[in-house]
Amino acid sequence: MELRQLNAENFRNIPLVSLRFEGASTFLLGRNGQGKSNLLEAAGLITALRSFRTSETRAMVRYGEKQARVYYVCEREGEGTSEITLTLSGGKKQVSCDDEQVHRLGDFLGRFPSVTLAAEDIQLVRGSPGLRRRFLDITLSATSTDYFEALRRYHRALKERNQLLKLRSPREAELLAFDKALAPAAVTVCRFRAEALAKLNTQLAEAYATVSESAETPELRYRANAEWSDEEAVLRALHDDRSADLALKTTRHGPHRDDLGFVLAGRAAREYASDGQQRSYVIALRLAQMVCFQKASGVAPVVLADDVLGELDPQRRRAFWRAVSPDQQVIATGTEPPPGDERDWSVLEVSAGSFQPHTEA
Amino acid sequence: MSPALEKVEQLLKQLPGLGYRSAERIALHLLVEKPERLGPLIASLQAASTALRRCPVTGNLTEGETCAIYADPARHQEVTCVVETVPDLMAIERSGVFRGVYHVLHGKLSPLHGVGPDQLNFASLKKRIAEGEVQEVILALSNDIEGEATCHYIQDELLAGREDIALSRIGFGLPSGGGITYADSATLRSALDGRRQF
Repeated sequence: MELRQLNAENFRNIPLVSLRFEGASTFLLGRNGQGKSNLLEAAGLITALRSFRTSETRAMVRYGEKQARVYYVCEREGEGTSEITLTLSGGKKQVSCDDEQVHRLGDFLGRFPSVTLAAEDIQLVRGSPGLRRRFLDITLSATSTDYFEALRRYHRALKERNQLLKLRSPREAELLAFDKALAPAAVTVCRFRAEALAKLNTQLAEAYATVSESAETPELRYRANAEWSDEEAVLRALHDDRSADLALKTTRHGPHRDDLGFVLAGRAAREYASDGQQRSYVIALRLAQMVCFQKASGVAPVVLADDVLGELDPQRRRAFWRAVSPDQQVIATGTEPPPGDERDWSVLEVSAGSFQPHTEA
Repeated sequence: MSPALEKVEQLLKQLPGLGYRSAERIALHLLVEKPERLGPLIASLQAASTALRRCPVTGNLTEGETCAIYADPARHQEVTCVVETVPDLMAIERSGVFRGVYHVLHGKLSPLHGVGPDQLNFASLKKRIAEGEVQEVILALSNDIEGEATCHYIQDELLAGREDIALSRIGFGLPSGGGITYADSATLRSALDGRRQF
């Protein structure tokens, strides 16, 4: 996939920008706080309509404005170009693709794959389970419509059930009705997660070997909150949990509480891996995600690298570029100009939300 | 602008399907362009509001004792199609393929919207089942979580221990005359799941 053009309006600190991307490698150069990451964030939204920095749609709309819009021209190999418009307003997102509004988001997600590498990624190792679930959900939603639909149904059922638990005295029959509506979606979500991790692990091990040039094996372990292998198991578990759920007024078990274990050489990466190993780990994870997206969509994802490669030593940096094909599109940001021997960069200078071609001083 | 006109527009805008512009058009149409339509419209609305009521048996709208469909001797009273709303009933009725009778729930279970069993028209369905007039129930409820839960509720709560009553749920799949190419994947999935022997 190649991003040919990106226009953004009222997106974060960007009032209006129109950028054409020529060639495979674009470098956005500028001091901190000028809008480089904002542009990458806007670009990355096209894949799963989710930002790598926030789950708040409102936060992406420029302060004091009602709505933000991003317009993309993308080219999928052999399929010509598509024009996509994404409108963010009042916490809602709307997408149109080639002048037709997209009603089934599931069919849109992952069609235009991109992978974002950002400094925040380190939180996948160090941060809360919610971040790791989000990573897994975005990866899976962009590669499978069935997963996206099941996850949506699961969360809807969970919301209804939790609301029911908050009532003064919900009826047993009503609770059971929502348990039964929830069960098939929950089973699908769990099954997809377990299967996806097996595949992701193969890619992760390969990518980690490339990036870190060391022998330890990384492994993502599925820490399922509940063993929900079939609908009967779900119904049994929900039934057994009922009185405790009622006391706490929330559903205590289920895939919404799942976690991923980031393991390196058999030990928890959060506690035992060095800072450098953790950074290599998340970069390898993004490369693994890239391979998954490529396999599912049939096109090479755009790589969006937000200032993270600057943190790598030259050796790892070279190893990273070996993992990305030379004709795959890369949009990177940094505060220092990139080394010229890596790729044939065209450099744009970013200042206060505006983007100008870089001229050597 | 006139406050009286604004008031009318405001009230019209609250009606389903009407936006600001349509509300303005309708208000001007009735008050300025075709004022002769206003009287009959008011009269017919008033007449309908006193004449129409909910059928105590089926929940459908009626002017008589029971709704016209239920009262029709040509309809099979032992086959009951459960729907969420009156427009849903009308949609099935327009298709002309169903010869049984209906039961309108006036909604579906949704704790998020404050709808529980007491808010739905379950009592008269229970009564119909208990009185033995129902031999077959067809669930024509929506394919979302709330529709699904409502189906389970009817099965477990209203039809518990009544294996003698046939229960089915309508299929979800491709629209008639529709090709496969343009169907979205969720629809194709239900169509494949619901395939039948040929």
